[in-house]
Amino acid sequence: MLYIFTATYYEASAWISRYSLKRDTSVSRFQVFYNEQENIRVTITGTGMVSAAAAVSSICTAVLPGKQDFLLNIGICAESPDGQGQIGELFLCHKITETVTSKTFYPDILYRHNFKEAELLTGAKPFQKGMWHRPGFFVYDMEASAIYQAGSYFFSPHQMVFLKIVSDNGCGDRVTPEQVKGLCALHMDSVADYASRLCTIGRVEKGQDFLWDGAVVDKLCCDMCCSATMALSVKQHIIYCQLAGVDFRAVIQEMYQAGKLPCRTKKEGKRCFEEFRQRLL
Amino acid sequence: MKSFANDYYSPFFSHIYVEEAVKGHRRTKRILERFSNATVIEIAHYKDVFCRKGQDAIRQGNSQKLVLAAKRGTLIYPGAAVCHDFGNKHFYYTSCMMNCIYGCEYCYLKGMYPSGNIVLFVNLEDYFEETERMLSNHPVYLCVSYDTDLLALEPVAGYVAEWVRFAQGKQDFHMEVRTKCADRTFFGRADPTSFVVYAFTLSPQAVIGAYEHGTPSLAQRIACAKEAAQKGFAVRLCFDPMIYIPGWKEEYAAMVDQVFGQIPAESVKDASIGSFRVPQDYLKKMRRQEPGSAVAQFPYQNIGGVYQYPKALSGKMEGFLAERLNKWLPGRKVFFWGDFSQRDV
Repeated sequence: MLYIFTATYYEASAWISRYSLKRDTSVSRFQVFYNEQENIRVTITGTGMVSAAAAVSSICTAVLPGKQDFLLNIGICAESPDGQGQIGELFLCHKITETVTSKTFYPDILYRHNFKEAELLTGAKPFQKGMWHRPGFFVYDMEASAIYQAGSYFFSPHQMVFLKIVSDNGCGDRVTPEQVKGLCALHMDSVADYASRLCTIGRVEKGQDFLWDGAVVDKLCCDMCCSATMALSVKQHIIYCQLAGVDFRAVIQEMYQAGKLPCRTKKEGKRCFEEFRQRLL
Repeated sequence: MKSFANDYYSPFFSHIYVEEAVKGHRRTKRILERFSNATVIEIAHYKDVFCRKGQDAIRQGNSQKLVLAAKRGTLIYPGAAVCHDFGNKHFYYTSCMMNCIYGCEYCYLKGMYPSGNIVLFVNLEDYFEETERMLSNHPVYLCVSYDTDLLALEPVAGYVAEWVRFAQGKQDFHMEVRTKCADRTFFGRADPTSFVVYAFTLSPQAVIGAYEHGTPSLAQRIACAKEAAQKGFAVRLCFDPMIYIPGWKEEYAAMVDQVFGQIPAESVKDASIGSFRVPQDYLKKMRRQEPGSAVAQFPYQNIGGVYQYPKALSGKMEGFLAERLNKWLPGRKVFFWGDFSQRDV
């Protein structure tokens, strides 16, 4: 699933209309829109770090992400006054610095993309020219560091993606809701394409996951009268054999046919397991 | 779908993280020049990137990033009990690079490090200084390529050549460079010296194919070791770790025949044998990270905090290989990983 977090509704509206997202009325603290078929869940966090962290924590606790899922934080940002960016330009953030604590966070950029990259500063106040002196180009928002920190309880660094669209350079011009919608819509195609690639990656990698045969292990452990420790060892043997292509089922079958299974006592079970182990390796 | 799966990761070293303190260092500049298309990200300390929580080292291995940093604190460590000392009393190792470009499924680094990225420490002179200090007290046998494969990254880092230059003319200094690399160009350029041993880790091709991802084939490694030996370099053959696979006897027997069919036994300095073993905490982490890896999921036995093959199996495997090697090498040239718990390190 793609967990999208935006600070305002205007930053989310392009997603809502493109994927025909429906309001999730079971969530009352935050506005959540979803489409089960598309596997997308968009949450409006509200502005600022505390709201953002609360929203990520709340949504991810309710719908627990897996290894194949991604978190996407998208929204508008300011750029450094001496910056090289232009209004409307989109950046993928490879470094997030929280101005209040000076802590830095590094989302992993493992997957190919066509975006420009930049460092992102997250502050507690809206950006104003002159409030932050530092060399080099950066973009500035008010949520990302909190989203990263809250998100890291649920996602690996490579599963978190931060995309920011420059809306101003802190010179005091008010950005209207319509402008925000327009800026986000401007990049919707390229971001949706990237998001779709991430979802495909998630599916491909999930398809490579190893699924072990739990039912066989449960029955065997029961029939061998296993203690908890011995059951773990039986499980480990079965997992290994399944992965290494060793035909453990034939060995089990032969032991049933020979009347060695099921066992009646723990002592008998231990002997049986020892024979099982020796025949496998 | 297959082509997509091969294509979606960013290229190797697409991003290079550089500690602020070393951004002006000549080695940093040289490496950044080589990767001029890389995105360079400034960091305060390598641990800010390398030690982040929740990293997926396996996926990171598909798109490794490089971290350039300065190592502070301890630079040289006493040799670990689970490693061969080859009869050297003052056995040490050092890690001027952390992690490896190869993706061996059984590698303990996956259990040891929180990240799959590579850290290269550019303050090599500090390592040399520390070695000099130790040499003023006693002889030193130093393994410079343990938690990494330095020779595999030689075209980028050039660290083996620098260590060899440092070692020249030093009394009582011996060095081992362990590798799975088969880059013969290094041996074409470097001068052979008796105090530097190049230790080639060899495995049957079936093990390489199944578990040693991205490494040169057995034939390539043999060809490289052969050329090195022919040119007078001290060559060690490391049959360590021995990995159990169904049909292991035939595979290891064929490997020994292949090795000594090409490398004259008398040109080999020595050899080591050791079945796979790994500290318990590392294996737990490896199993979490690689749930689909047969070699990580093997039902090892925990003996004294070290997971290893059951005694009977490891004895059989090591004994078999020793017997095969003894046809080619005298017993005094073959070293075993023995009862580490009783060794005085």
